[in-house]
Amino acid sequence: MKQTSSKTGIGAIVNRQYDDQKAVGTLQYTDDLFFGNHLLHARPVRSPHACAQILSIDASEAMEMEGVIFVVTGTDFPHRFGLYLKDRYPIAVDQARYMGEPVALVVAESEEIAERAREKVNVKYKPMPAVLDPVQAATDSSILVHPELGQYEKVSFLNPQPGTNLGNWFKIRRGNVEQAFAEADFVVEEEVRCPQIAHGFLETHCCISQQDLGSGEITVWTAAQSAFAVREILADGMKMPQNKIRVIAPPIGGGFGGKAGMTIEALCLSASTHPKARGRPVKLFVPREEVMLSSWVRQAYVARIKMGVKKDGKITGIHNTFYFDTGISAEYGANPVRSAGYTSTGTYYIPNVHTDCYAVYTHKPFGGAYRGFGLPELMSAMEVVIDIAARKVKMDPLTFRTINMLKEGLPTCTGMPMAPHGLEQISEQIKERIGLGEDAAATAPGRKRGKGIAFAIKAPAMPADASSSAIVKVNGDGTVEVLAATMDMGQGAYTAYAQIVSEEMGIPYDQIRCSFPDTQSHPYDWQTVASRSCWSMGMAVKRAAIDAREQILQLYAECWQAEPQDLRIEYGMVLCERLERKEPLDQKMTNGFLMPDGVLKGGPIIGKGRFIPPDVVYPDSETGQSPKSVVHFTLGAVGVDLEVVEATGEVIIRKIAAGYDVGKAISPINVRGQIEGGTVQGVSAALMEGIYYNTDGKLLNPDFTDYKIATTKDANFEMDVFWEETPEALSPYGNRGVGEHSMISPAPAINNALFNALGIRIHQYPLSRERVYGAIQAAKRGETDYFD
Amino acid sequence: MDFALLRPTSLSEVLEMMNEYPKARLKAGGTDLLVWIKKGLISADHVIDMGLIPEIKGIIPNEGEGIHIGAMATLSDVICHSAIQKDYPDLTQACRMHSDPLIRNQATVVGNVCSAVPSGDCIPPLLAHRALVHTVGSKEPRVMPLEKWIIAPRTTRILPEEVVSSVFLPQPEEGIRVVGRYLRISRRKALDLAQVGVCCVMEWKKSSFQTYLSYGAVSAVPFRCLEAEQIINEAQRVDEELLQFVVDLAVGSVQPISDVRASQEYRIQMVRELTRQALMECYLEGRDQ
Amino acid sequence: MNRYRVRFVLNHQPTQMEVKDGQTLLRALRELGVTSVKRGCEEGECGACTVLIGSKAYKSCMILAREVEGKEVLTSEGLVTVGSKLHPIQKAFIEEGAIQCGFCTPGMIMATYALLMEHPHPSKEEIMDGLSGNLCRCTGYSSIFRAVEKASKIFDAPQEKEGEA
Repeated sequence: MKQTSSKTGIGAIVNRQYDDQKAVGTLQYTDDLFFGNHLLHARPVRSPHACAQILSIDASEAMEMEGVIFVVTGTDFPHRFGLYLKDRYPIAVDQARYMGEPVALVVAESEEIAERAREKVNVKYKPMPAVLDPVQAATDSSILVHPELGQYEKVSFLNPQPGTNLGNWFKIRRGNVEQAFAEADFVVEEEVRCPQIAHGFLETHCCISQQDLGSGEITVWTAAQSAFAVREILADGMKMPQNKIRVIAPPIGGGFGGKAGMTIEALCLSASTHPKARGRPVKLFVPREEVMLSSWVRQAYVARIKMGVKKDGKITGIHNTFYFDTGISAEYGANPVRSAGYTSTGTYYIPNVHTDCYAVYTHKPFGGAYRGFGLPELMSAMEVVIDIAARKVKMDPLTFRTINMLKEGLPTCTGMPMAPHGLEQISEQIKERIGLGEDAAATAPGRKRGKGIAFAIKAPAMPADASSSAIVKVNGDGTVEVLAATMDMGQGAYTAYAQIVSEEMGIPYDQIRCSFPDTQSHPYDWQTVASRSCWSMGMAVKRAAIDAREQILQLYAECWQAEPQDLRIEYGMVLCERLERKEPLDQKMTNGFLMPDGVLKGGPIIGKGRFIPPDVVYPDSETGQSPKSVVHFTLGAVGVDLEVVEATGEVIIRKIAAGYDVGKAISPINVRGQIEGGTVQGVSAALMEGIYYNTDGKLLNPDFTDYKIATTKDANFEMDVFWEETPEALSPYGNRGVGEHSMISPAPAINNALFNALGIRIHQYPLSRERVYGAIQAAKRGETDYFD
Repeated sequence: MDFALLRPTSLSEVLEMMNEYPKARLKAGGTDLLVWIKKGLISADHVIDMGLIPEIKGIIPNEGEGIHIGAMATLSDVICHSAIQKDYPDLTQACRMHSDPLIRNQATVVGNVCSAVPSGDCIPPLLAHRALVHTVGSKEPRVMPLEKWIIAPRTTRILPEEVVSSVFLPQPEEGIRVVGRYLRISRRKALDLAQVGVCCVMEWKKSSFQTYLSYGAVSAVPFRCLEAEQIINEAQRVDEELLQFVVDLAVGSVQPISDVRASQEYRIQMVRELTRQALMECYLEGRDQ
Repeated sequence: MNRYRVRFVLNHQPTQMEVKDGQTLLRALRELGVTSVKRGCEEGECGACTVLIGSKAYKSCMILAREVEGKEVLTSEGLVTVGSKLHPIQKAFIEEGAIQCGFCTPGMIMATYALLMEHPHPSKEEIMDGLSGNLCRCTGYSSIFRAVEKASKIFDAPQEKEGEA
């Protein structure tokens, strides 16, 4: 019997934690922290070549400037770092591998001085040939980005290929695709491409670090999604004990994966651990135009998908070849590649699968985590090919998807049986909400109208042993503090956790507070990525809350001489109906209970909980097979109703319907926020985003002048979001992740709607006005496919 | 940013300061200047802020002659001005399409002209209305047609010892109805540089009209396509036959570049498209009134 | 470089600051401890630095600090009354879930304030245009539109003067 009552538990609508501070502007992000005049400032000197040997660095002229304290070079800090593969130097050592790579770091009394001084550092380079195209780099090993790839430490489940530019190679070999193609009635073979894109968070990276002059202990304040991952990576890279590094993670202004793992912290540490720093804190602030040069971008890809289909619409086999452009580092980028790979039949049951997903090194800024983590890339291609295949067999796109759907019990490409899910209901809803299949007229002359649908799927992409833990502390007035090292970057994790604690402890939500991560006080959590937090940390928080509750009920029972099951906690009050006793939680929560026999018992109530996924098995390195390759999948779909202005190529979205099976919405306001936000981010990427380089490898659109993201005027369409709740078996409340999923399929849904409107298939993203215009012209010439 | 800021309170003070610091940069709204300094595209030791000079702040009608848009009049000021909406509607449209309301509160029309960026949105409408640039300097004040003012990207005919005090829009003659369209292509709807800008103005008297057709972002310097104007004015109609001819003329007169924002080919096609659209809309609106 | 003393009114309080000539209002305010204005891009593109000067909204990264001499500057901290009551716009943003990471929020709220001062009952078009200079990557803007509509219903002329009892 449930022994708690709360109005603010699971599923309630509550005001989100920290919203008041955000509305007023008092919440302090890393750049807002005040350190006084003691603080030093670092600015990097960046390579002007995509690939060059560093012959010499002469910092003498910079050192002569007043206020310049010291200059760090790679030889001062030759440590390699990496979460999954240690291939990354924070400051280039001997060789610069991309245009913009830090080759030195100037440290000065102010940002302005450091900025001026970096112009005065004289670096001599010997330019070397660079490789910029991922397909070329993958198939031609004459220029190697990492000749020493074989020497880098790595985790067991990564598969780099020394002697090549392949930082990872994920394979699925299941069944016999050649036979499947031979038996098929139609074979569809298509290529889809997409450039790198940027996260576009409003807060740029910022890190302050300090090494204590007395103890050598390091403190880091950083805009990071995962305080513990930062600590782990730094400790490992610098060969320091973890308890001598403290990472404090202030609230971040948007992550989307761009602040996952370790980004600029090691670079900052190269300054603060320099002998000349003498214990002074050093701040490294990354201005907007250097964000893409400093940290992750979403990998560009070239996707080649071959699919065999029978007349009755059943897909017999699929051959996927994906080249992901991971730039100069695969330390994180290797993993979206895996994530795409082990989901490479998308939302479909396909009996024969051959997948090769490559993380390819090129001399460009490096790929890493980005909302969706391989699935936007996979599905932006797959959902287009599915539509093409549907047309080939003259079947309605939704019917084609439904008859091939990965229904409960059917195996994914790794052989893992799919759990129950509501994708069929969701897709029916989408169909209704946008009138899919119903012809609709354009609303103005000179326009064409089209509708399209795309499915979405993703599992939390993480190591098998990604664990979470939480502590619940009860104060002497019945208020509660939760230590859960998730980064609440706006997704509302702390709101959900407070609701969980409210549910399990019967304490009102307003009395419960979660705080931002600090490795010194919070217990370990792997990372805030993968849409795992509400599920994994949610489980830990639930267990911690239950632990605290059980202790409280046990002590009260003894104190009141009742049975624990006779007691309840309701809205912060402990009561026993049988004894007609009722009182608020009070200082007994910290100072113990005076028991009937005169002995003080109890003391501070601390609840602890932890969670680790019990049974994930890494896919076999040759076949990609595993009975349980991931913890669970979240599925969903996006429907788009749009118009195209034929004269200019402008795409005007009229309506988007988006639905996901979230298992259980713990915090409905936040589930809605995630779906709406991710949908618009997906639309923005689809219609206007791409990172471009010239032939020398120079980034052409580094800042918001030319890297455009959606404004209010680009969100001028009706957004109809909803969710299904098919409970997840292993879960605190049946919930599963939703944070990333809405980003996955707006792009292919738009692509499919454009095909419906224009009769031509566009094989490249973004679907910019210029590209759509070009496609319209090609359609007029009778072409069916547009590559530019 | 590292410069000395000077804040004169009169135009004559500005001129004195320019004399003392010949390399000083003039700041009106500053939305171009500050970005260029910050990005290191230009250097500045001295910046002269014109924000405290009362005589250049406003939009001042000159009865019967026209309207002076003072050097410090912002895009927001222009958008709100009813006389400009009536007689120069394309300029109002251009100001509305420029950036966003926050930037518009600060950026100035004269600044847009003096920055002389090829894609400056205010320039094609001002050209179409035969605007005049008024300067004051240590010598005689000058008045120069805007058509002659800009000679290259970011380069105008301004002399070292002078300041633009206003841009003057001549008043349409008695009995004239003005119809105008400023159309542009950009990657998204708000706060983006134009990849193509086309302005059409038709001044109607009863059922006859004079056309003025200007282009921005598709050549080194925004310009009026005089040949096209002549053809249209002689024909006194806009129909498919004429448009084919005019659009080809327009395309022949532009030299757009390819850059990260748009390709040359797309810009040329959009010159076709926007020319056609602007002319047709102006003609139909004017004719139907 | 010399420092120059600027006297102005900040959030209804007479204030002084010592600034360098080339310093932007954004950086000067942050030096004063007003950190609601953010360094999002410092090139006038993102709006995370939006403030009111007088009755109009500006991107403070594009304003030089010395330009506010003698003027009234308002930031989101200044919308809170002395009794710590949040402004109706701030409340509406919270109630409609229009805040996620919060980095764009102060700027977005100031742009909303300026918008509602000029258009107390804005149409959807006017809302979109009024906020088109403020980027948000988290919310997708729908919840922000809902918040502005809600705020417009409860916000007329300021009944209780912000920043004063």
